[in-house]
Amino acid sequence: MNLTDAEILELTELCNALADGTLTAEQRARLAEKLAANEEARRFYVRFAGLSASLCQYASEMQSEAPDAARRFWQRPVFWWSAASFAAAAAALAVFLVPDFSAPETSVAAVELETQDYVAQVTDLKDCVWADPSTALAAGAQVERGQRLELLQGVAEITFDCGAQVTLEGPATLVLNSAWDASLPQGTLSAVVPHEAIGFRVTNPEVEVVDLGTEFSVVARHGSATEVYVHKGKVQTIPRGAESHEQPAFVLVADQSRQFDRSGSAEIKHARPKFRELSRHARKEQALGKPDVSHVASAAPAVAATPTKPPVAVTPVVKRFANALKFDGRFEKQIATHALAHNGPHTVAFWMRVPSAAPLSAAGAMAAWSSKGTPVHIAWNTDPAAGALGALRTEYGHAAAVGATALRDGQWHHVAVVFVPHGHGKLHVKQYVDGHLEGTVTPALPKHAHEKFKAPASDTVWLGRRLGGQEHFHGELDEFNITDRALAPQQIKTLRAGGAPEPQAPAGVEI
Amino acid sequence: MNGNSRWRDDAERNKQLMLLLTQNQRRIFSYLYTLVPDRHDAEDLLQETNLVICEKFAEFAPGTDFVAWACQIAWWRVRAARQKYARSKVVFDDNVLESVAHTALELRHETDRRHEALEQCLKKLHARDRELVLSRYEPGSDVEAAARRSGRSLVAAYKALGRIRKLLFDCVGNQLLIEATS
Repeated sequence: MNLTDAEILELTELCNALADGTLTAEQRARLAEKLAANEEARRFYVRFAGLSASLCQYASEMQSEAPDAARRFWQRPVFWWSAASFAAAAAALAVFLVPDFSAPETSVAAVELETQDYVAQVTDLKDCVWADPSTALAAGAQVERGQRLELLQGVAEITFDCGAQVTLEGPATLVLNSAWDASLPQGTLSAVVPHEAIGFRVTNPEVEVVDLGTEFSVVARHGSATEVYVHKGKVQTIPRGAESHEQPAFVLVADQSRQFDRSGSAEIKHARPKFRELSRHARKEQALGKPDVSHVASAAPAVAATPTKPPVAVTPVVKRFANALKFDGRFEKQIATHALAHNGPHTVAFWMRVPSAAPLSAAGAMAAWSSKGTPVHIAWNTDPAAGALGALRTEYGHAAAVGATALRDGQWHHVAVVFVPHGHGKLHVKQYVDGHLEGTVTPALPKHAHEKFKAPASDTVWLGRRLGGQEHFHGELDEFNITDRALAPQQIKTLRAGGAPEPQAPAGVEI
Repeated sequence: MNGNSRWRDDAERNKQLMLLLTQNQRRIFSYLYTLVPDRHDAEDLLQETNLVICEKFAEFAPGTDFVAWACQIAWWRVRAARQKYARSKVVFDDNVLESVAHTALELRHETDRRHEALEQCLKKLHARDRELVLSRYEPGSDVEAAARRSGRSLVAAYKALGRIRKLLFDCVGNQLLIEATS
């Protein structure tokens, strides 16, 4: 018997109270009653308690490596209790089995590298008037972390790097906190959140809306309640207005709405007309007055690429990967193109498969080229100090972005790496694995060519080997695609599905 | 059997014991935590369980499910400590405890997958939320300490932790769903 939403909410509340040590005698009795009566409730409880147990372990690992503040939190030792500790503790096993984590206190936040990076892109505009004309955004413009958008009128579509698409209707103010998180002090916002971006969040002083896979709208007005409308799927809403009046979180499902203010929250009565209006708004093609808004105009001029084949629309593949390039460490492939020998925006995407038993020596590089003398490699990670072994790793000179998904599993994965020049002499590199944002890095762009590096011709992309080395890649590659624009998450998704990123793909290279 | 070969057998057996214990500490801890949802109590019981595992390792049949065997030992340690914990942390009576233990053992492979998926989900969290939840679960920490370190009021920290756990719980569920359908 499946649990109802109400039962899930109650169990969540009880499990949270248990985890925080605030469970009352009454709640304890209630939890025991639920667990005794219902197998599904027991399974829910075991999963929830398992989450806390895992958090204990991850937090311990984090604390044990806190002195090395530059390491990111997921770069953790393989074992919570190391084998070395066990060997040394053979005579006093019991003492060693619970680790002594006496490392100095270091805030977890300290290990997050603070970089000024891009977190979203303006993907469409209609009749927009910005509060500050000198910083008006054009379609295709990249938006930085922490940037405040003040739209006086018109409609702007912002696509976050996680894949969430937000339609903002002026007058509105939106602050982009990260690729996963925005604040809406005022205005109307509608969000369409694909599966890859579940967890996307919109906050303001009255409410926090956490997406659970959905389409929703938030209407925030100065001096008035903030309203949340769910068109599809569900969201979790957490009242933030009054700390002294502790309010439970609400899960809102399709066609439900709720308003939040300083004194608490309440259902919205007679919400139907507003739903109709916002549904139209959520359907961005109507809000923006276009039949299709997948078009992304590049802010930078098009690059004169020399593709090995003229750019063609991808035709449906009858049997995908049937003609994949197979690399066994003995050969490599060269592609002649100018598309990557510059510091303009571009995207490199392909499918890859690595055997699950591939040794570290077989990592090589899937793709490598020289960008104005700086070596660029897309490979899988072999350095445990830099991140998960086998995860996607993009190196730009000495800087590297490392993902999290272990790619050595014998399965096909879609990889897309987006390179976007930053206004401050830097390059923003974003990695997508199977459509999911995984790892970014913002290295400085080289002022001069890398003198020590004996780069091959800048118009060559090598598949299956590193530059200036003998390391070769073992595995398969297919549908290699270079685009001279920073593709938005939706376009990467399209590419992954076997389509072209847009109807007329300019200056692209495909193999 | 001469002295040397017996020594070699013992050394081999100890090596095997160390390997199995090292590889499965997390799993045994997770099982114990489900029955005694308090970090310190679960860690105490883990120590006791490890000692019994060492004592009884000769009874373990190589090639069988070590985690299932170790969890049985852990279960009896929980039962043995029942009187002690009944007055403090153990939340459930014997019947409920037994049902939960059975479910926990049944879900042990899923729990493994959930642990791996959680790592991905932690990465998706906003840095401020990740800091709060990890500092809450650090050894020796509690909600109050985590609230102080994050600059939140205690009430706000409780609310935020509830929200973050729910978010992680859902995210892990979704990750597993994706894996199952891919």
